[in-house]
This record gives sequence, structure tokens and C-alpha cells, in this order.
Amino acid sequence: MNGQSEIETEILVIGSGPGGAVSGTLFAEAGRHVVMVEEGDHLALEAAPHFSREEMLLKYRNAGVGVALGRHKLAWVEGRCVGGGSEVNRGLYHRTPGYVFDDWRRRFAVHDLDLAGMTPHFEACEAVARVEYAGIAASDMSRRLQQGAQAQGWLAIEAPRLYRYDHDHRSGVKQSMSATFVQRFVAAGGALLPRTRIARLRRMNGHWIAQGSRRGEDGRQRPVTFRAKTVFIACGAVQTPALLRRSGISHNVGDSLRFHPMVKVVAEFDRDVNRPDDFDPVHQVKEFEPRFGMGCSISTPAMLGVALSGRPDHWQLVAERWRRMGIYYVQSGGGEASVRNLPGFEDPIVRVRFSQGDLSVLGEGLRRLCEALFAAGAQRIYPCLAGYPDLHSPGDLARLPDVLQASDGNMTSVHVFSSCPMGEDRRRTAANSFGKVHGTDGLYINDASLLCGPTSVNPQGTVMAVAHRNASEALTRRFH
Amino acid sequence: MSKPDTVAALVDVLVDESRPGLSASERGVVADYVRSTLAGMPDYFRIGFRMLAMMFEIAPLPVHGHRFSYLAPAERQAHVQAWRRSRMGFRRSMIAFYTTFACYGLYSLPRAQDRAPAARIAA
Repeated sequence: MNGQSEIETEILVIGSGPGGAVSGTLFAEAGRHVVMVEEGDHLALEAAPHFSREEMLLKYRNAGVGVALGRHKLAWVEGRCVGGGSEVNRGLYHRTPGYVFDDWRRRFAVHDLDLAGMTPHFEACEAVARVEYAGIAASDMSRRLQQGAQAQGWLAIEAPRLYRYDHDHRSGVKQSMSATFVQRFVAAGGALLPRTRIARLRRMNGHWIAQGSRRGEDGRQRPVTFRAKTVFIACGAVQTPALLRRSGISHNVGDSLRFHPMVKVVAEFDRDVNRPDDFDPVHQVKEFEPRFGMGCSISTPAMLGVALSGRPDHWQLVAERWRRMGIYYVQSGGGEASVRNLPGFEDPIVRVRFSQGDLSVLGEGLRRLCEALFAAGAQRIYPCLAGYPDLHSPGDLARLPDVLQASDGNMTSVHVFSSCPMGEDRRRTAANSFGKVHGTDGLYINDASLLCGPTSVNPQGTVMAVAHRNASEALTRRFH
Repeated sequence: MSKPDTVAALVDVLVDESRPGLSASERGVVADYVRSTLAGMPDYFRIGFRMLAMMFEIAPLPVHGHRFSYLAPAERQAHVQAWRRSRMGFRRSMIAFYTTFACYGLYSLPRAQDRAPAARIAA
């Protein structure tokens, strides 16, 4: 360290979510001098109950308020703490379908990207952050979706989680980044600096200068500067392009943000399906992917209350019947958004637009989801969409519009990616096939921003494996 | 006259819609959560919401002669309903936002007492 506020390091990793944590760990274990900074706090997994309002305030960016503006607004959430999104999500895990890699390779000219080549990277990540199935411990609410889909003749599966189940005690340990890679990073000698925000980067004398601020125990921000030969940006799909644009790097940066937009329904069954000590739901319907997929959401009374908050009788409904209820979703890969900084403001603005085709896919998906839930024995379905009718039987499905009619807050997402795609086609990519930012030296992106499009499946496994691939390649090439 | 507390008054109306018997201290917990959410939201939204809250607060002045926070409960409720059903999207959006977060705070109440303060792992 040089003085009180200038820190020199060989490699600076900005962000400690799945992309940053995997990258930093590989570099530290290779004997490199690495500093990993994180804007949020370093908090224990149990610092707040999962999916509680305390967790929203402690671990989510902007207290859980993220809204993409546009004719059809979309609300999304991101983590902001050591471990990033992996701390606040369910950890549902998939290896990327091969057809997704094939599509990215073809359309974006990404070199050396296919399922066979990625398999060692998935395996390496899964050896550190363990992936397990709930099996017979899965909740009734979760199984109902599978039963309904199977009754329709559709493919439905149990998704594994980044989780170590303790079936005897109906508990377990989440395999978030803070519980896995970050610990290895620190054990290998990496320096972790939470509560540190990088505002911008500039190049000087063959080094990157990262200027930002560090929040002290007293809550005061103090300026801090890092000097590094190599910088890996892994701040997430919204903050990464925002940082690059603030730093004057804007070629294909923040122009193509994608989501998995999601709409939800509450299904009420004739018997209890939802118990307080249930494991998080894990079943998913794959029949219609990649157009749309279906799943089951966290369905605590608080989540049910919010899902039904548009109804005047929501309190009584939830108080009386929450054990018979579950929240289910349909999600697609539609819509495209931009990320821009606003002069005088710290937070970037996101603008999204959906085509009629995007909304038609979600409209069809919603109907299919309801079909499966009625087949699973749902007595009533409450769409979480303003103006939509309650559904009491499959005959009521004819009352659903073909094209989704979504008003504010009805469309949500927990997956954001693709804001700085990778590949050799410079007309549409921000970084090369391994994340090195076009036209720069020593500057890399290594997070969800790099993904060339929707993954169809939960993207954390893809983000980790791609980060592992790119970090390994950078080490092999000695960062050239 | 004390400073108007628009958030507390609005949360009161929203709580009354579903749990009129809720204690003052629990209402305070819900209002604090909504305030924390407002404080944490993206900065450009925060400014917009402050302006909206100000408009919402003073809108009843011409008709009732009082700001929202000083209205009688029935008049407050009518004012919230008017914005909820307004043809202007930003008014509906504002009430929808407060409803969502007041609701989340409300439903989280039973578990509020058994929380230990969050401990940071490292500086």
C-alpha cells in the first residue's frame, strides 16, 4: 500500500459475485497478487433471514428497488454484498444447454465455446460450490408443478441447487460465493475489501487507475485509488456497463441488456402444500424452452401478501389460506434494454422495450402455466396482473388475453445479463471471446454482462463457468 | 404545527385497509421499513418520489384546506383512493409502490422481534 488511500496491486477484481469471486480465486490460487473490491458489506449468510425485509435492506442493491423504464416496466433485483447475487438467490443451478453456446458461437463469433469445452469449467466450479438435489425432500408445492406438467405430457424436472442438504435435520448450507469461492480466495492470500465502490477507471503509464471511495465503520465515504496492471470488472450486468461508460468506454457497452422477464400467479389447492420448514421449491417445466419456462417461487406469507397486494381482501386471504397456496411463474427471454448514466446521478438508468411478439410469448406461457396448475389440482388461480380475472376452472382460461397486458410492477426478473457481449464480431460485441475489452490492454469483463443472450436456464452456473474459462485463459496467456 | 410525515400518514391508510387494529408501534416498524426502502432506491427515483410525495401531500389543500397528513382518516382514505384510480399513470404507480412495500413490511412483522443485529464478517 502506498499512503492511506492509494493501493497498488497486480490484479484488481471489481465485484465479488459469481464472476468476480471465481476470477479472483483462480488468480490468487495461481500466486498472483489480487485485490477484490465489493461495494456492499461482507455479511454472514445468516445475517438476515432469507427473503426477509431485513435481507432486502442489507444485501440487495437499492433496497430491492430496480425498475427498467419503458411502456411496459420491469422490476428486477440484484445483490449488493460480498458474494453478490449468489447470496440472495435460491441457487438453482444448471449447466448451460449446448444449443445456447452453439447459438452464441455462431451469432457473435465466440471462439472455443461449446458444451464439451465448457464441461471441465462446470466441473471445476461444482467441486468448490457443491450442487445437490432435494430429491424426496422437495416440497409438495414444488411437486405440484411437476405433477401438473406430467399430467399434460410435458417435460418437467427437479433443478439442483448450489446447496448442501442435511436431510436428517431438514436444513442445509447454501453454497453461495461467500461460503465457497470467497473463502478460498482469502485463504489463498487474496485481499478482500468490502464497502468499496469504484467510480471510474483511467489508463496511465501502462497501468489502470481505479478511483472510488471506501465507506468506513462510521459510515463516512473516503476516497481511495487503486493502481493495477490488470483489471477484471465483475460488477453485474447493470453496474459493469455503467462503470465502463463512466470511464469513457462505450463501444457496444450497455446497449443489449437482457432479462428473463417473469409473470406470476398464485395457485390455491384443496389441501396444504406450503409449510414453514419446507426447502425452497425446485421443480421446473422445460417443455417449452427456450421460448418460455415455468417454475415455482418462494411462497412465504410475506411473498404471497405482496403477490396478492392488489386485492382488497389480501390479508384475510393469506392469513386463512397461505398453506394451501404457492406462487408460480412463467419466464421468457424477451425484451431488450439499455444502461446509461445520468449526469449528476450515481445510479444508472435502465430502459426496456418489449415487442408484441415478446408479450405474446408471455401471454401463451401464462395460459400454459395455468393449465398445468389446474391439472395439478389447483382450485383457484389468482394472476398477479392488474385487471386479470381470478380463474376457477380450465374453462376460465379463455378469458386470458393472448398478448400479455402488464402494468407497473407486474413483470419482474431476477436474472440480468448480456449488457457487454463477448465475441470476435466487433459490430455487436464489447469484449473478445475471453472477456478482454476491445481496444484496451489489461482490461477484462468477467461476469453476466458477457453472456451473449438469455440462457433459458438459471444463469449462475453459466456465469461461474464462463468466468472460470476466461480467468484460466488469461492466466495461460499471461494477461496478454 | 409539526412537520408533515407523508410516509407515516400514507402507510397508516394502507395498513388500515387490511389491518385496522395494528398497534402504533408496529405501524411505526412498517413506516420505517418503507422509509428505508425510499432512502435506498436509485437516486433519480428518490428525487422523483420526493417530488411526488410533496404533490400528494399538498394536493388536498384547495379542496379541504389541509395537507394530506392533517386530514381526517376518511378524507385521507378518499385521497389515496383518488390517486389509486387516477387516470394519470404516475399517481397509480406511486400508490402501487407504497402498497407493495407497506405490504411486505406488514407481512414481515411477526418475525421482526426475533432478529439479532446483522454482524459483519470483516471490515
